[in-house]
Amino acid sequence: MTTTQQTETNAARVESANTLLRIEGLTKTFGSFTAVDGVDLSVPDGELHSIIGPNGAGKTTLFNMIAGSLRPTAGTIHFRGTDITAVDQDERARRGISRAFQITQLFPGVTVHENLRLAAQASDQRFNPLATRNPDHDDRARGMLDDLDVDARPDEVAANLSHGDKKKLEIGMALVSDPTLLLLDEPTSGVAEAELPALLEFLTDAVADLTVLLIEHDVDLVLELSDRITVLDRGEVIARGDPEDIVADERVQNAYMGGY
Amino acid sequence: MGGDESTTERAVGAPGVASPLSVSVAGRELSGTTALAALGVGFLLFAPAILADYLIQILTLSLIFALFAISVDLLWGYTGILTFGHAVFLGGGAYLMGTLLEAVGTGPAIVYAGLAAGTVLPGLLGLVVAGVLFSRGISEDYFTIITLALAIIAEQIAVSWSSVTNGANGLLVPPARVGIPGVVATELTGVPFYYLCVGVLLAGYLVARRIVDSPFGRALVAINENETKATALGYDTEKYKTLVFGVSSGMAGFAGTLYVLSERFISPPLLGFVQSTDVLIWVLVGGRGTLVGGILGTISLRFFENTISGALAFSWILVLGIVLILIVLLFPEGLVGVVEVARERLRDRRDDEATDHSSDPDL
Amino acid sequence: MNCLLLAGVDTELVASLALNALSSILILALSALGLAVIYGFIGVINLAHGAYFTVGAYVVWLTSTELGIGFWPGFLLAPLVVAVVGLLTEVLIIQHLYERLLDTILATWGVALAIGEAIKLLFNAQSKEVGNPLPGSVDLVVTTYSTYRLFLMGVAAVVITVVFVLFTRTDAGVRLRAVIQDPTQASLLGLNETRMYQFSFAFGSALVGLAGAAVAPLTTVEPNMGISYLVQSFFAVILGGAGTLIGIVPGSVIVAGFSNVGTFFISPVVAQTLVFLLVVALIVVRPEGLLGGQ
Repeated sequence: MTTTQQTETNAARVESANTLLRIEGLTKTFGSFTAVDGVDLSVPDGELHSIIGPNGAGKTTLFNMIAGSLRPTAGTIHFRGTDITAVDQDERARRGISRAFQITQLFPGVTVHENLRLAAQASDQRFNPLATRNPDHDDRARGMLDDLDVDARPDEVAANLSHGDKKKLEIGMALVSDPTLLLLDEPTSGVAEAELPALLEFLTDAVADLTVLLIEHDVDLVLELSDRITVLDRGEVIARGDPEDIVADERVQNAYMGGY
Repeated sequence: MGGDESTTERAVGAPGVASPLSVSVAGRELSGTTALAALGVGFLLFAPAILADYLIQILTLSLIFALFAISVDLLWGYTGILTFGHAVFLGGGAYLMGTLLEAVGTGPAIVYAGLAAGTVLPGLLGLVVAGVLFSRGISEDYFTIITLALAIIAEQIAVSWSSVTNGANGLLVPPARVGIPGVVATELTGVPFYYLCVGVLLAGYLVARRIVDSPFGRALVAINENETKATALGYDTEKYKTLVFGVSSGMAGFAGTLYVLSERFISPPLLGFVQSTDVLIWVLVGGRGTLVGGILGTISLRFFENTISGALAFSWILVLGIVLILIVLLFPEGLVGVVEVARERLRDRRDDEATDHSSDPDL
Repeated sequence: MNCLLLAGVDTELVASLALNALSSILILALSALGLAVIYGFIGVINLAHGAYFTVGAYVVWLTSTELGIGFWPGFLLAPLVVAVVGLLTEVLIIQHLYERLLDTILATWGVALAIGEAIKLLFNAQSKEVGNPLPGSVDLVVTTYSTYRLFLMGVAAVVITVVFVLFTRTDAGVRLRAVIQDPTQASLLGLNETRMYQFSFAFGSALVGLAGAAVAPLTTVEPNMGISYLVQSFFAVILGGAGTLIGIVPGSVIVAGFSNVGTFFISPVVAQTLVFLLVVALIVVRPEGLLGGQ
């Protein structure tokens, strides 16, 4: 084997050891419409990888397939080296893939504390109807609530929260289970100007040690947080690289022309 | 505490949020709730001294139906599964017990076998039905329609399969004897049987309360609140729904066995959709998602049905239909919800007064 | 129990069997179509649908017996009366429950109970008879068949066809259908949602009222006659695929066809049970229905 080949093999080996998420040829078609077309992506441990693109580029569809709420038409998803393409959504969550939705999905009728506690309890599959509650879940919920610093009391019903607080709660619920991979879908969308700084501060701290896939339209946030960026347009990857490269990329500029 | 409690909207009556009659709520003032609960239990314990015999008979059956209502509340109030066919399990348990007593014997061993069969077999049937339907992601609406059809079919089968069920005439069942097999056996009727039912209902309530407070029960609430989110978080929602359906069906079957011990007669309507929808109305009027609401609704509505309805110019069912519409429109949280709102208003007023006084310069 | 050997088939019997099945299918299709419009468009499970059917039958009974006006005025009145009842239900009750659609099931069940009891109060619970307005039979070569049944089949077929044409050819119909397929379209198309809901409720109710009126001469008219049509209509809609209108055709064929044929060969109860199991099996295998899931 030549030195170049050796280096390449070594590089490949190093990459796969660190690769948390590997997507190959992921495709989703709805009838004649192709939402996602042959997307490849490799995310190493600890990276914050942003996925950007004009509306309708297929970003949320991609997320849905990674999270497991949508079955791909073609392609594979590997998580920690294991093929999870056929694994159910709830199982993926239990394995450490956590998701914060763009449109907040909370448990509206129960308290803020209970929302977090339920999120903490989720991976702890217990079907014994007569078991007692695990105080660890309460502790984790309380801890996360402190970190979130919302304007509401723990016994406040989640439906009463402000939009910004709901967004925080959504993210908090995704984090409380100590996920391995966090899928963050437009965490700042719809958040009022006044609430933005607090949310951003929380966000930046929260994602520091995590592997994150981020969908976000706030360009400044993307450039500030991302290690690497993938640009999607009409379901295809049109560019990938670190923030400086992407900003300078002509194809990206063209895609956003008349864009968002 | 003090006067700075804001008038935040509570999810009145919603499962997981304290309801006035629940005893096991952490951190809430228990004095009001325990008082009411004690009152309720006290009434039940002293009822034979206050009420006439025929009322005790009605109350006994109401207690059994209240257990049935609790099984429905677990399914509907807590998990959000609306079924129009739960009486199939109630009646199933009843026919199982009844057939055993009628065909095999009336001794304690048979009774225990009947209790077991009448609980386990409906429970298993529930697991299978729910398992099949939920695993395929049947929509809630379709599930409800299928359960309605199930109840109608079950009643028709009970009518036509007369070799087993004695058809529309119903099955007369000899009185059962309880006790220890081979040692002692007595017929249980009247007041002693009433107290047995009180005990069983209390035990059933405590078991149900334990279930809803457990992680399993909390998961059910999560599924009811937002099933999409629950799945996304990692809850295997199909499994939870299937399991609670099995538990609930078993409980309904158990209530059915008690029904036979009490009434000594079963007929097809016990399996049908009228009985299935009656229990929904009891739970709704009492307050779904509270467990106590089911007990309250059952006892009060059955009381009215058996006493006042005779005096009415028109039918009880008409009243029920109108009550149903009004409750759904105006008081969807039921009696318990109304009480809870009243308590909130009282508390807020008390707190306002306390704040007023605290600004009094003389203090 | 009737057994039919393949050899020596009695063509007359087969022909009348087929015609009976066809008339059942068409009546169910009429009722199911009404339900498809309501459930498909608004997503409301209207458990009063069976009661509407019953009201239709009672209107005809009233005009032909009590009021002595005859069958035909009742036949024309029934859809109108039931449309009004449906509209009232929508305006007084359903309209307030759009935020909690699940509760409409219970509320409409209350309506069903109330209507059933009101009928009992007004006309007592005894089953009634409505005389055949078209006595006699028609010679169809293979068999002779009841004139009224043939008429009924014709009317049902015509009404169903007209409704489909309305929904596929007219502007308003196409728009309504688009909304049935995708309710989020309503505001985009600039349609007055309230009016649309009210209209579809009234229209769907009218259809099932017509079905009830049409069936009245063929069966006993009693307060609970609608419940089996309620369930069968839902089965037909679910099987065909809620959210489609054309789905009720295969849905009705399967449900009414099997039910009818099964009743003849085995027994009503066994037939109903088999239909139920068949529907559940089909739904389990294909939850979106035969023609659904577009």
